[in-house]
Amino acid sequence: MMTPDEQRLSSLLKQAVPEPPLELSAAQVTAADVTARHASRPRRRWLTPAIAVTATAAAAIAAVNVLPLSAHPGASPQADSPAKPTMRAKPTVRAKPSEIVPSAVPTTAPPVMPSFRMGNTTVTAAYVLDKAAEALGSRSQVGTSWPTGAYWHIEQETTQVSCPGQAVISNIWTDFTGDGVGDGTFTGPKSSNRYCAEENDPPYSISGVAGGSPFSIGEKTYSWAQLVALPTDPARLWPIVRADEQLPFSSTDPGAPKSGQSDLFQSIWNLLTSEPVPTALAKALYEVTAKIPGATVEGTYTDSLGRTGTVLHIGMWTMAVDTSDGQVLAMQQAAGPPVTVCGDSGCHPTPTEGANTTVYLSQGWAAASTVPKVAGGSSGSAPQAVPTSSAPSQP
Amino acid sequence: MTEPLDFADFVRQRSSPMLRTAWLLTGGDWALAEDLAQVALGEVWRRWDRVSAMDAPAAYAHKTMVNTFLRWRGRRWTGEISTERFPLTATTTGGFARVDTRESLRLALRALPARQRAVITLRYFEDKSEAETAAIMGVSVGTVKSQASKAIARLREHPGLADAMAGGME
Repeated sequence: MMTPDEQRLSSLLKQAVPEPPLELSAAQVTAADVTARHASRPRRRWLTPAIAVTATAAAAIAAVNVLPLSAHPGASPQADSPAKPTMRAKPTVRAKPSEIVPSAVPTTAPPVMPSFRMGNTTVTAAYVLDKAAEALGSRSQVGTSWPTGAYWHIEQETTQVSCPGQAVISNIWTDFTGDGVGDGTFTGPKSSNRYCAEENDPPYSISGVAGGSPFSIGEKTYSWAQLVALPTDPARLWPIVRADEQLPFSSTDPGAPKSGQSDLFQSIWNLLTSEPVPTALAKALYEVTAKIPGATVEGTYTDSLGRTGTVLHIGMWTMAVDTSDGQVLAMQQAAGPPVTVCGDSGCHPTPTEGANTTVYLSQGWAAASTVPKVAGGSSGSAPQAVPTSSAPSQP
Repeated sequence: MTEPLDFADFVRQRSSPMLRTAWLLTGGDWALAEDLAQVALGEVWRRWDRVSAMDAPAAYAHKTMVNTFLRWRGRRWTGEISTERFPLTATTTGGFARVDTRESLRLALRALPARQRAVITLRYFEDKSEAETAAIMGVSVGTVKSQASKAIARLREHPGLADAMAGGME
């Protein structure tokens, strides 16, 4: 007989444990000296969650995280000629592993997309993303060239679990080079955590990325001109962006997970939430993310604005998208494990800052007159808008 | 008399349940979970002539996996981390609660000693009785009780699990 505490824990465990993203095969089991394989696996890298969210929310493309799977969906199974481990001689003749799992095991298995049931419908992340792309297709066009004399404005609310009760609403105005102005409005109690906000951020200057390529997809950066020149046919776009997805985590362990999958996914979503991506390209980007293996559907999302969406999860990222209009509503970066910090008193493990969640409130074009002026500093005034003539130039 | 169970079929049938259990044992790391399940199934494969004739080969496989995990405790791939406080993963947006709770559970499990993690997994995820759990782990029923009690107390202290432990997930 279980106590109420035990019953709750049992229920929690059964609901929280996710469906495995892969299936073991007899060939894998009999082929792999997994202990040796494990010993050679490099330690995963994790990104320390961003903490200066007010200053860089628009440009924060996280870099290094891996999908926590050793045989990620889509990886080639180890199907060929596995030899049975030789602990002792077997007394009977046994079928060769190739007979146990015949060549029915493909050399390039299709990605496994874990599914989720909503009502009577089973949906996958790919399905959700395709629906979002469809919805975007019917939306009005967001500029294919940078509008004259205007900025792209985003408004976001960020909360961090290690700063309980606090929220920062950030406004960021950027031009096509990534230069611009930001400010932050802080609400909530003060915290003893030095990483938490203590007061409002007055307007500050934002400097675009050197070289004038402020837009990122995976590990590649693009200028505005390069971004809008990307193909809007997902079949042509996919080979371009998947070059990042295919980046191996380790050059010495071909079996290690690809680092780029969740990062690529997140970077595309960051682009969709923070940049003036032309609608046709945004639609193609959604369709591209549908091809990235490893994303799962976790349920539904509702925020205090009454907006609802579907929650997707990949790696350390969780995102909510409204499939009725293709709008990304929120994104959350999970806490990483403690990192080792070395100081005067030696090295010791330090917990990271915990998860942070960004809720996307609005984005759109803004007139230069609405951009706040930066007090002091080298600029001394609101940044310059783009030249009126422009088609933006290549960096 | 039933047909002899084919090993490939056995792996297919047991893959998902064993991986889910392994996910808990390894503190929510699919890569380690896969390795653990594979090692355990490798052990089963070596004894397949005998195991396939058992009444409950699945139970044997799970027992092998738990014991493999306990033998390997202390090695880094138990996923254990030491932390002075639990990382916080509470959420301010209800829609992310499921992922948050899972993440909290993952981190909380990692902070548990391997033996407590095994007890929690067997007792409350696999619904084994205290006696069965004790038999699988090779410890006394008293040890199972005390380890379970300590583990629950620690999980209840985890900020990200407090609500879930009080009322379960949505």
